Amino acid sequence: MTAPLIAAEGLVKHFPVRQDVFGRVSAQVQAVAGVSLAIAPNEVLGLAGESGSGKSTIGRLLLRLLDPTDGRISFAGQDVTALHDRGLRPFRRQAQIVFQDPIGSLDPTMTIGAAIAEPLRLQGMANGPELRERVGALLQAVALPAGYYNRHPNELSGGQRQRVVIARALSVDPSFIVADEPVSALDVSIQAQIINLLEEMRTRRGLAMLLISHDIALMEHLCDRIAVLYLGRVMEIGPARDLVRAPRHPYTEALVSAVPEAARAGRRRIILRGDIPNPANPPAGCVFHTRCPYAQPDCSRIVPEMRPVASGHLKACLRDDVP
Amino acid sequence: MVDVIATQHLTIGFGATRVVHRLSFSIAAGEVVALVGESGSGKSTVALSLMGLLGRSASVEGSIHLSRKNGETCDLLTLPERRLRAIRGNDLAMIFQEPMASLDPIYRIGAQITEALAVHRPMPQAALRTEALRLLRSVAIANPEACLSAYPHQLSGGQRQRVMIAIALSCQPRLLIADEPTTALDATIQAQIIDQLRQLRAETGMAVLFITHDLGLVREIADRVLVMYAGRIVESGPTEAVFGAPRMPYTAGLMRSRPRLFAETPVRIEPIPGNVPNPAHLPPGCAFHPRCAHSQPGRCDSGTPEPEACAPGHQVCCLRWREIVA
Amino acid sequence: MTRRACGLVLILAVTFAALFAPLLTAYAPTQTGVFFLAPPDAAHWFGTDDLGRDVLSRVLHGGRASLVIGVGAAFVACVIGVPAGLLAGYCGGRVDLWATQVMNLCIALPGLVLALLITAVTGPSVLNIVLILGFVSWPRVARLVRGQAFLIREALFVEAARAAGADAVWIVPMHILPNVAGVIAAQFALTVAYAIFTSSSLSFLGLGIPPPSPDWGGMVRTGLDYLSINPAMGLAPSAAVGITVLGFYLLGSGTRG
Repeated sequence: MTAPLIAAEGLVKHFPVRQDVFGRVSAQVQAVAGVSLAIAPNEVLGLAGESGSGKSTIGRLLLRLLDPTDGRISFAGQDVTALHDRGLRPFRRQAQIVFQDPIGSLDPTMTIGAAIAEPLRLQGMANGPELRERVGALLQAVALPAGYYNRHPNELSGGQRQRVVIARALSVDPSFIVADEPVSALDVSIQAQIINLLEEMRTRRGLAMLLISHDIALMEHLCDRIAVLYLGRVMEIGPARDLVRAPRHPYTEALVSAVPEAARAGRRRIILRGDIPNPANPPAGCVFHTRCPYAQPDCSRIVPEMRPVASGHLKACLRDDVP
Repeated sequence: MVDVIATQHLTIGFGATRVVHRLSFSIAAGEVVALVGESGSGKSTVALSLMGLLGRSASVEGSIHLSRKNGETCDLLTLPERRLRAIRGNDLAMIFQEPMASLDPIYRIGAQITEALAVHRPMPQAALRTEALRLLRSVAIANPEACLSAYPHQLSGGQRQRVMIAIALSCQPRLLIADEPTTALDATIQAQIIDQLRQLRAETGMAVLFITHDLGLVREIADRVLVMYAGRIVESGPTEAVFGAPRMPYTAGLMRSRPRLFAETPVRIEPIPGNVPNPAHLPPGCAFHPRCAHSQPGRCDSGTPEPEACAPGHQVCCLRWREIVA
Repeated sequence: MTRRACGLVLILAVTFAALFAPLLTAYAPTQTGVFFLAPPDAAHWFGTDDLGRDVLSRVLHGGRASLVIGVGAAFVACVIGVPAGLLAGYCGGRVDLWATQVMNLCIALPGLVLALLITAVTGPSVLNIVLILGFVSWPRVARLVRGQAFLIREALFVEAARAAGADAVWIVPMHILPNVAGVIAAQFALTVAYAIFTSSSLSFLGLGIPPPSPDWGGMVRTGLDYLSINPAMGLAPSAAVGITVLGFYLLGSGTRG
């Protein structure tokens, strides 16, 4: 693999869930528990997982919108973990975010033009007529009419708003984007427009992307590699098509088989028992063992290490023989 | 097969805006019918109208005939509210996308289930409890005793939806209306719930109207599918017929706009251009024509297509379906 | 007509009457006459008071002081309350904890009693009343702004701005303030209503604007003594207070909803 654009090592994030009367933390959720990832330039890495898997938290940690409890983040070879405020400015120009909710991610009091211009102004990259011109070009790039410049978000449909959000993220010409469920709030017939737009931007601008999603089919389509998360830990990571077609971790297998289309393709349906455990109190050993159809006595004692199963394909599972 | 429910020219409007246009469909006993549509297609409005829960601001025309458990058939739109209440939760039950919103946060689960039971099936307190436990077991709640004394917020999303299903099933309804019941749930939990619904259908023989926007899910659970666009059913038929050979360009477009799992070669997906229309400003003619690659000026933008049978049980609303096939 | 429009109409009417009071009446508010406590007639629509002054003229002129006090107090309340609320809501944590305690303390103090105490010590003047009423009303503004700022701080668009390199100096004026402006406007109107009402109460209790300038609360107080002779003397200024407070209340509550 080429030198990574962005890399995280041993990322840990705790959130306080309970505080006593004096504001002291008495319980914590381990949202992210030791995650290491690397994304190469122009690569799309997918983060798959269910609620409580910590996938959105990882996205925000990588962008330094949250401070990690432990671990290191480096961008283009430079350690950005310890940087703050002003020191982060150059990194902020390189790394942007697209959210799931196209309503909440635009300020209702700001015009579309002002929203797209905001990162450019913050980074001091353009002003005056040049700023207006660049915003116009961005509107065009995401296939929105130039007349939308002075409109407000409430005048736009969900798909159009998501285009604005993408234009805003692209305005500073970043090299890395975190897309957190970029299409799941959109109508099915609109999703494809946004998926294609993201793909086009990636090819045309050489973007690297972290795609956070629960949609396995979308990830297989859009990603080069996929990392599967469960309770803040990576269960399996590997080339997208290999991982989806031939999962090597029992959790990945169940996740893929839960996609309705998988059953029609002849996949055996695996119904997992029970619910996702409380991240404040994760099971001992392998965190998945409470729901794993292949669990053995060892699984509740030994924490499995990530180990390679094929070239560029790793899993954290004690068993070799399954699935 | 007897139709459990049949609508004729069901038309629903709010003020000057018509959101559902002349909808006619029926669901037979034991059948799972999926109502598919995007936001603003009117699918949830249809569900609420079947339950008689639309409220006074809606104007409803047409008819909704329900064949009740006691053998009588009645038009739900002409019944007084008092009689509708007896039917809701008894012959008809509904589960929603967000189970937290349908459970009262200040009562224990046990109280909420027994309340639902007591309304329609009066029985002694001890029997109520036994029956509540049986219901929770039937929806595969792992620890039913603990669940009875829990408050809604103490349960996970999947458990709450199971409880909602248990409440819905408590009176053995003829028809269960499920409005996006798994959309808010995780994939592995969705798989559990769908599995559960399928089993319950087989055991109880109830009919299910499954409302969703997820085509993959429809293909997995539905016997028949109704595709809605802008308040009309634009295509309907047996699930495999509709998805195997979609005749309405909208249905076909929806299928092409989703990435396919296990696709042989990475194919570029084809979006449907434009936006979902606002029900208050529907395009003239076929509501889909501005987004349709096959639309013909002077034809699709003037005449409203009526449902036509293109195969046995398979109906399509498209002026050009014959030419498109050829 | 919406609540807001009703409120606006009332406020405009009251403001118009106060502003053009000299043109609307034939008598100066302090001009005494020979007819004391005359009941309403064609010459004096609301009759005259105990010193023979035209009640209508005094009611219209009295609106000026009330409006100045109301708007002034609301302005003072916002000048203190908005920054305090923004600071508490945006910073959160310890700052918020302390700010909230101070707000709660101030809210717990009974406004009217406090105003009475302070005016008793400092002596009544328009400026003093404005400052005092502004000071007792700021926590309500602050608390509301804090709550909104707290919500908006968590909004995705704020996170997106942070991801683009924005700090508090950018986010507060660009995102938080525009989004709380509506709430501030609403609370401003409600505070005007509160201040007019309270200042009238103060005057009624004898701690209002010093005579002889007309002022509604004082007029009600004197009018009460002569209720059986010229009822309009007490009722007219009461109604004026009612209409003005209602106007600002409707505007404020309508804006919020």
